Formats: sequence, C-alpha cells, structure tokens
Amino acid sequence: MNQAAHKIVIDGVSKQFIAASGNTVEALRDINLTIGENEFVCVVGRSGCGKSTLMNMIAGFLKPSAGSILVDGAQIEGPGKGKGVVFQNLALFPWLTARKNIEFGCKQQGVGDERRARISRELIDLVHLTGFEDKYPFELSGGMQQRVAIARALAIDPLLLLMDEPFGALDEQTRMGMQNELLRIWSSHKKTVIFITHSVAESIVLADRIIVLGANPGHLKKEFKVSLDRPRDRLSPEFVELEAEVQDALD
Amino acid sequence: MRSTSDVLTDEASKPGIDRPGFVARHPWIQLFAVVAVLLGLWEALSIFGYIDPFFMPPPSTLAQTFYELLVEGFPEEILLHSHILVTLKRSAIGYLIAVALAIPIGVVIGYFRTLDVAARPFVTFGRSTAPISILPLFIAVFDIGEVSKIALITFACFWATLTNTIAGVKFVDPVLLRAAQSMDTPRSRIFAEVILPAALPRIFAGLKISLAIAFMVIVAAEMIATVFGLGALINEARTWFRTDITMVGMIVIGVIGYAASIGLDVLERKLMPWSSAARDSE
Repeated sequence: MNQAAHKIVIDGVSKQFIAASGNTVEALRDINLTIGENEFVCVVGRSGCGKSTLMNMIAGFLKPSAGSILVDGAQIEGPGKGKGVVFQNLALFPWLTARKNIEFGCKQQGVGDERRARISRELIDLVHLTGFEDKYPFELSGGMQQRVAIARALAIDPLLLLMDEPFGALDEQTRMGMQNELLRIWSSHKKTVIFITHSVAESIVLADRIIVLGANPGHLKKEFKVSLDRPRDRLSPEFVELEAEVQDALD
Repeated sequence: MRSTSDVLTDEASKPGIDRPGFVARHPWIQLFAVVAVLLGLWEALSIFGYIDPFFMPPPSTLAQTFYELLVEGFPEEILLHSHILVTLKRSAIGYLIAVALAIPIGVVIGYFRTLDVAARPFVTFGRSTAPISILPLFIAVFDIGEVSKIALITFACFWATLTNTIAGVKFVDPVLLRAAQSMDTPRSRIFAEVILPAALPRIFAGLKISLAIAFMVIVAAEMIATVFGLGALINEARTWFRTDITMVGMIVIGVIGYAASIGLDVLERKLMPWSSAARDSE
C-alpha cells in the first residue's frame, strides 16, 4: 500500500455499439477526463447516459471505439491487474461464503494460505462482518452483501477502485452508513476511486470531484469540485447549494 | 434476538404473537391425514357400491394383494421384493449411464457457442421424441434382453439432463465472469472456478427431471419379454385381469420414485446449501 494510487487519463474516448436491430448506437462521445492519484471521483448522470459503459471501459471489460484510456501512462489491456470492481448487482459468487468470496482474488493470484487468511480477516474486520464470515451471500442482508462485495474488491489491494452504483439497492439508512464506511476505508487505504451513482446527494457526500454526464450520446456536461470538509453535513447551506447546482446541471 | 426455546414458547403462548400452527410444524401429520382421508373415502365409496371393485379395488383389497405379493409372489411366485430390486437395478444403471453421458456432453456443448448452434436441432429432436417410440428400434438393435430395457431408460433420461446442463453452462451470469476477470482469474481456471459452480443448480434440476422420467419409462421397458420387474408385474396382472396387482405395482413405483426424489433433494441440500432450489425444497 506504499505504492502511489493510479492516475487515469481518458483521452477523446467514444463508444459505439451495434444494437440488435443492426443500428449503431452511440453510447459515449469524446470524453476527456483526467483523474488524479487518490482522487475520489463520482460520475452522475441519468440512466442511459453511458456511465456504466465508461466504467466498463476503464475496468477493461470493453474497448473504446475511439480514443484511449491510460492508467499511469499505459494503455488498458483488459480487466484485472489492480483494477478492483464493485458491480451494480454485486456479482457475489453465491456458492462461496463471505470469507471465500473475499479471498477469491487472492486465491487466483496465488497468494499463500496464511497471507490470504490474514488479508480476509483484516477486511472482514474493516467492513464489520465479524461473525458472518462463514455465511453464504443469501444469508446476508443487502447491506452486508454490499460490504462483502467491497471487501472482495479491496482484497486484491487495487490501486483503482471502480464502483458502479453499489448502494443503489439499499434503503436510505443503510446507504448513509455504507457511504461513511466507504469514506473510512478510502481514507485508511488510499486509492483512486471512481464511483458511479445517480444520487446527487451521494456524490456530494463522497466525492472530491463530481462529473456530470449528459445523455444521447453520453458526453461530459459539467464538473464540480467539492471542497467541503468531510464528514459532510447534508443540511449545511453549502451542501444544499451545491446539491441544487449539480441537480441543475443534471436536468 | 431471543435464542432459547423457553423464551419462544413463552412468547408464543401470548395472544397476538404469530407462530406456525401445529400442523405446519409437523408436515408429516398433514400428509398422513390427507392420505388417510382419501383412503377412507375410497373404501367407503367401494362399500356403498359407487366404485366397482373389479375395476378399482378398494384399499383393503390392495392391502391384501400387497401382502400376497410379498409372501406368495406373482407371476410364477416371484416375490415383490425381487421385482423391486430388478426394477431398481435397471433404472439405476440406465439413469447413471444417461447422466454420465449427458453431463460431460452438455458441458462441452454449452461451453462452445458454435457447437451449441450446431447441436441444437439434434437436441431439440431428441428431446421431443417420445422415448417409447424408439423402443422397437432398440429391440431390433439390442434384442429383447436387458440391454434394450436399459438403453430405453438411458435414452429417456439423457435429454433432460443434457438440455439443463447446456443451459446451465451457457447462461452463467456474465457479470460473475467479469467479477472473476477483474480479480485476475486465469483464463484456464474460469471454467472450474465460476462456470461449473454457477451451472450446478441447473444441472441438478436436470438430474431430478431425468430421475422422474426414469420411473415413468421403466414400466414400459419392463413390459417387453420379461416376468421380472414391477413393469412386468403390472403387465402380467393385465393378462389375468388382476387390477388389484396393477394398482399395487403402480403405487410401489410411485413410492420408490418419491423416495428417490427426496434422496436427490437431500443430496442437493448437502452439496449446495447455497442454492435457491435447495433452500426452496426445505
């Protein structure tokens, strides 16, 4: 964890898909964005604005149709290699217990048993899952599953953490708790975080910088720097004012 | 959370606290009660002459017949338990061969898209062929001995496991594959680490359907040139107008099939405590 987190340079990225009808659909057009080391960036936008497509390209699941994405100066060649992903629907392996899910990445990378066990123990502790580590995902609440997914992504010690609306399915109370936990984890394990959400308030609670995407085709609409001190008070005038501004940019 | 049963009992005795009723907590009682009522009704209808005992003997006669089959045997003094053993052996061999073929073939077809496309017409054709219709062919090829009977069961059981295995492997949630890739899972291990475990519940569903099919076709298979097996028992009973024996044979096959399917459910819960199918059948 002494290595500096990733810097990402997105340069003139566009993405087109061929739809089932045979028509070409333009998902993203000419995205230019630089994300600094240890920066926490939230991407907000309406559904269909291409925010998941953007994340999938950074994660290495999709290739841009034009332009390039550089991570620390190198072109992305595929998924993995220090890019941790928390998926929108979590994508936990239902046949593995919480602990085995968390250890999955370490196992694939050939981390020895002892070290793997230590890593998972630390993470289980970090995300407050002690006592639930041997439960299967279906035995856990939504919030707990969420924390398993985050711990699993953190276990490979990624320098870049990509999160696609990870708290979307949670109730407001759990969601706020998870936001605080994520910030706590981020401050103790500095990483570059790209967090996708459609909640403006969530983006202001979390981000150093908010990127607003517009739709049809997805494009960079506006960005906001959030310089409020953390933890951020949702009821403070500055928060409320920024919320209105971001909401405005979104509409 | 209260954990001791004392507390729960105490809570439950208070008004307004819901808990499952006595019958819901003892499902076997419910089953026995339903069976007892139906048997009683059947017996009564028979006694009062609403059901002709020649075509549909009452439970009391069936009980006698059951006893007779156990100690005297039919036909040719073959005892019921030898019929059962013969039938079990044939179904087990036929079923196991089918499963041993269908799972690996299904895995390969499901894994390779082009193979799936190429195999689809054959799979659809095979699946929609009534197993009994192929029996004359098997008799011609394998003669009327054991082989054609087992081959029929194998053929009948093969398709359900095959189609479910193909679907299980093919329809693995792509996001699980992405999750594995994002954690640097080597390409060579994706199959064992993700695809196979993800496909297991579906494969197991196929195994269950195939098992049910085995007990459906065994009777037909055993009607060919044999006096051994429950199918033969039923068939022989027909020639002697012994509807009572036919019914006892049916019931025995039903009970065996039911027990086997419970056995598979138990195995599924053991092997895959995480599977939703295993949870639902609890």
